[in-house]
Amino acid sequence: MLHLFRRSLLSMIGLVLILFLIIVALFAPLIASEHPSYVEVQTEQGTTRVEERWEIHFDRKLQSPSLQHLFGTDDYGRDIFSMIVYGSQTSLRICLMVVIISTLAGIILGGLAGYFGGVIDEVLMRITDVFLAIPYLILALAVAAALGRSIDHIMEAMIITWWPSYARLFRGQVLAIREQQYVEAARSVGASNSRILFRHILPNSIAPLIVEITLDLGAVLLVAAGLSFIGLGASPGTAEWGLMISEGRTLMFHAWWYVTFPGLAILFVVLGFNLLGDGLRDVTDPKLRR
Amino acid sequence: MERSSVRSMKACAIALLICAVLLMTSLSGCVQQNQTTIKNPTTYVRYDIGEPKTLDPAEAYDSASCDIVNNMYDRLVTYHGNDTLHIYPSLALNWTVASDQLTWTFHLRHDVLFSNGDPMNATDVKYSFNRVITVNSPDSSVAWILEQCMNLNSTTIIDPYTVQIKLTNTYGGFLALLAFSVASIVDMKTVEANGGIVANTDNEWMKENGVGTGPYQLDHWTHNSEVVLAKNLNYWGGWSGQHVDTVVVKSADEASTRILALENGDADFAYIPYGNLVDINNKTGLFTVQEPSYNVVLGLFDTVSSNKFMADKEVRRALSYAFNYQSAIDDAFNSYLYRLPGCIPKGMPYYNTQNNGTSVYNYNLAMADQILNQSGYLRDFNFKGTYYRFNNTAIRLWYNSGNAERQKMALSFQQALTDLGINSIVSTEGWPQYLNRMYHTNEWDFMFLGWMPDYNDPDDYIAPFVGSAANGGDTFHTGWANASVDSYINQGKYTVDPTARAAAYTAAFNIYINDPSMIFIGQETYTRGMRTWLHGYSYNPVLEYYYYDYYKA
Amino acid sequence: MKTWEYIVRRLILLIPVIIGVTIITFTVSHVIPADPARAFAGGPKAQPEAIAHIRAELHLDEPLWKQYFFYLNDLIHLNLGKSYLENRPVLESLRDYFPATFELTMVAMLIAVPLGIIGGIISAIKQNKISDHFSRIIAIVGYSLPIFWLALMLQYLFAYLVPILPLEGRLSVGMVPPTTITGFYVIDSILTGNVATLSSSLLHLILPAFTLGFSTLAIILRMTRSSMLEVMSADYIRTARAKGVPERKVIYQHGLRNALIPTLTVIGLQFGALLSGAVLTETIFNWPGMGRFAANAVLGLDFNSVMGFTLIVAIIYVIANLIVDLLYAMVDPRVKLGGG
Repeated sequence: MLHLFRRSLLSMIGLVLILFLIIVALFAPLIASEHPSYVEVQTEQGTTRVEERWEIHFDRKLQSPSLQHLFGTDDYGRDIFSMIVYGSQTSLRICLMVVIISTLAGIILGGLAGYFGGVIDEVLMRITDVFLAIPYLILALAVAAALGRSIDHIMEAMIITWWPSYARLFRGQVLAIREQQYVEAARSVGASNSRILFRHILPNSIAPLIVEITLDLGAVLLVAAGLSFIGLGASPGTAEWGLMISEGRTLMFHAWWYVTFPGLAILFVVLGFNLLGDGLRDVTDPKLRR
Repeated sequence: MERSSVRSMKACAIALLICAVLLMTSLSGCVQQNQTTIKNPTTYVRYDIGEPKTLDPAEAYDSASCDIVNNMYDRLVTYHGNDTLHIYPSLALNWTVASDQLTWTFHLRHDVLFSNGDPMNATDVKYSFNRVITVNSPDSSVAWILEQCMNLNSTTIIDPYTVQIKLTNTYGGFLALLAFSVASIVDMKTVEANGGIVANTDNEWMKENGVGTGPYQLDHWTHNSEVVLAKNLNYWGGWSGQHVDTVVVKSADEASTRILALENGDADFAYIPYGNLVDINNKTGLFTVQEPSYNVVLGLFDTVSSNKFMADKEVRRALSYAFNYQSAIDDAFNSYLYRLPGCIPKGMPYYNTQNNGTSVYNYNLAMADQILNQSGYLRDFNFKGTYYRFNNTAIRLWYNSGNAERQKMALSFQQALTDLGINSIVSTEGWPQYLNRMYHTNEWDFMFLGWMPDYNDPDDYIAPFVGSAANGGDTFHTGWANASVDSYINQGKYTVDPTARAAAYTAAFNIYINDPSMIFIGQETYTRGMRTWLHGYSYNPVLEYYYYDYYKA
Repeated sequence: MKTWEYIVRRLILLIPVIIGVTIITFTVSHVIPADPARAFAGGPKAQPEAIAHIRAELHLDEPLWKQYFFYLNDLIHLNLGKSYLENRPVLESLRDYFPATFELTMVAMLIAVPLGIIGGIISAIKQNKISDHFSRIIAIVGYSLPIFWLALMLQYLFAYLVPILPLEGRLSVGMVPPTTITGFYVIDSILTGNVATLSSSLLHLILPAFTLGFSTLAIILRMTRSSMLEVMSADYIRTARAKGVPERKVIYQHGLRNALIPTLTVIGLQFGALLSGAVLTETIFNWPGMGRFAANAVLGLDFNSVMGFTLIVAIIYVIANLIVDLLYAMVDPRVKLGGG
């Protein structure tokens, strides 16, 4: 199976892009030329959180790209290249958290519905119907607006938006597999429900799920950036790509680099996830393989 | 014969063809020339942000609504050009005031028609004022401006062209009130035919329509897109001389849109924020309007914050020294800001009662450090090698999202506070949540806010800023109150003698500036982009746009 | 099951979905720990009576469940409440903005669907040729692009650097909209024979419609390509070829008809995505449609507008899906309505 994946040039490009993203995120302090400081502050809920702070240098604001500032500076005199490098950490965190948590929610709820059927199934499917009838961006927008502006909140908003599609997907998988002979066999020898779910159904339905997850990682990043762009995401002063585009937008005709580079960063990462997802789909779904 | 006729026909055809080609080229030449001259020569187009909430004078309170109302309707008195110090006749030819300072008599013009042809007389004046007070607009409550010194019994018709107004109390700023859009004269017949007056209810028809005596009448209003005014052929001022025939106010929330429209000549006038002026400076055919406005920028302290140290005036004094005023002017506002010494902006009377117009506070971290140390707020909390004051409690700095200037000031204030050993959090939220935080919680320490004039009197600034809540002040819920300041404010309001008013405002200033409830940051420069082909524009902070004066050449 | 019976059943099933949508949007928009009354009443200058009046209008002093029933009661009387940002009934705002959004989405679809299908077919029949690679790259970039960034870049390129297209809006400045018949400027211009507004509105549609339609184009292209490939390797196609049916006929008569079925589903689903995308596109291109209205309403805590918009969009979305299912049955006789 791996050789098929390796043979596809586009999938390899995707893989390289994503590995590059991970490397940049991990080694940001070594790659970036300037670095934020971190300060611990109390939140309104009484917990503490660490905030990222970028030093302001008004004396060098809006400089065009040069050797010193590869991608130029923004209107606070911050180095855009360094902010994009550190922004990769935020992006990666948003994508992984949203997808992993909504997948888990989807697996649990979709699994229960698919396996037990009946009233649970009916209720759950009607709930997902309702969620899926609201365009995801509108729902995420409304939830994020209700929760207040922060990265954590847009992640919560997106999880609320995303889980129903996973629940449906996984329910469908479970329904299909449940009827298959080896599950019947396991049941006939008296295997428990949880054993059937975790030993038989889960492993067999994981492949399509992984493909879906990989493709969704990119979609999540796009929605998160869109929310930040509208002004509901990252708090001011943080290096987040959507926010950077949003702040550079009014200065676009004056400083093209301000919106261009963060946008390219988003494009390449989403492209990476999508190429990778396509490659994985080709490998796991023999129907599409040709 | 036959042959020659064919030949001549041919020649004719060729000649025609050549003529046609010549005509075409000359026409196209004309078209090209036209592109370098004035676009829409009889139409004034402004690109602005937001849009009116209403066109009803009894309801209009925001500047976008008042702008249209001011041009559709006239008032008894008005301002001229950029002169804010004098009030001129408009629908009233002249007026007298009795020695009690309470009874005012206005003599009206005889030749005034509404845009629908109805004549205007004293009945409409009385009807208009009483309508404002009866409707008492539930949506905007703008009626308070007239209600300061008028009630339903104030206006009396002496004869069809004479009106007497008896005030409920003396008020120095009375004529200034009559020049505000809420005192516009409406056509009684039109209003009565479209819903009339219902107590405590806004008139839905008047929101979207209206008949006035002003130079322009409503052509159409496409929500969130444009308001178009056409000239009122009945206008009593007449249409001789140069005036624009049509006025288009477009709402375009994107700065880039407005800039481009101005550059390609689609717009004659556009709201351009400070940060974008570089995009239009020094471009041929464009001009930047830059004038000191009455719009002030304030940094408010919550003196009753859940962070108890905010109640200490020494902390607030230290913070006043920690704010980098020059950076706010240079970096946040690109130099389009004037320092503001106290409550009263430059240009208004009694500005000089504030330390002769010189600011008491300047950016001085050493001073701030000294004040905090002397007051016992030491850097005694060790967090990973950095020492913080206030037991590392963070000061919460807020600004409303989307406001780039405030964001810059907040982030640079945060940097200064860090140097001072004070932890801080900069946060932002939408306008409704922001106001909710200010008015219903004490979960904030510092917030930015602006204030715009209703009418041209210092009482409209000092009383809401530093008056106590009990005295009808403390508009920003800073929780600050001082009995002496309250009594000086009331002296300033009801005293007519200028020397006594000045003395009262000086005394108030000396108290509130040393126990600051806010940082007086500055007075915004009014900045707009304009085509040089637009003439007749002059900046007036009270009556912002008066299209009748405009023409394009 | 007869077709109309099926439609009625589906429409009845719509009711619980709509109620669910109202519950979700109501909860989401009302749990915000902030009181918008002061902002609606004019901000710091708001007079106490004005605030009290708005609080009373919105029933803000009642418990949440009561507020919901007030809302439902209004809804039954087809009253979506008042938009405080626009100071008029929500229904009126939506009625004004709906044609703008619908026109934009339809044009986006008109760009995306034919281009996507044609691209997909070419890509499939010329598999692994240059044209295939090209359209696959278009497809993958198309659904990886942040839509708001694409919009900004297009504005920068075609309205600023090489200013050949308008930057924003539906019509040029100073142009009076065509007489409202349908609310779509293009159609109204044609009906009233207004050439000026027709050309202006078409020019204004290009950038936003392309922005909005690009990701849809990409998805349709992918879908058509892969289903075409799948169909073309099916047994009956091989049989047809073996019987000597001309290749063109094989592709268009046998292949395409079956390959288009999954594409049809995607088109239906894309309606929802387009309405989402309209929020960003309309905001950037200052398009006076429902998306921009919704974004402003969400940011301005204008509950009634948010709920009204969501409700309308949900109804459109569900109905679009119903139409797709009906078309499905028409195109593919194997599909039985209501089965499963």
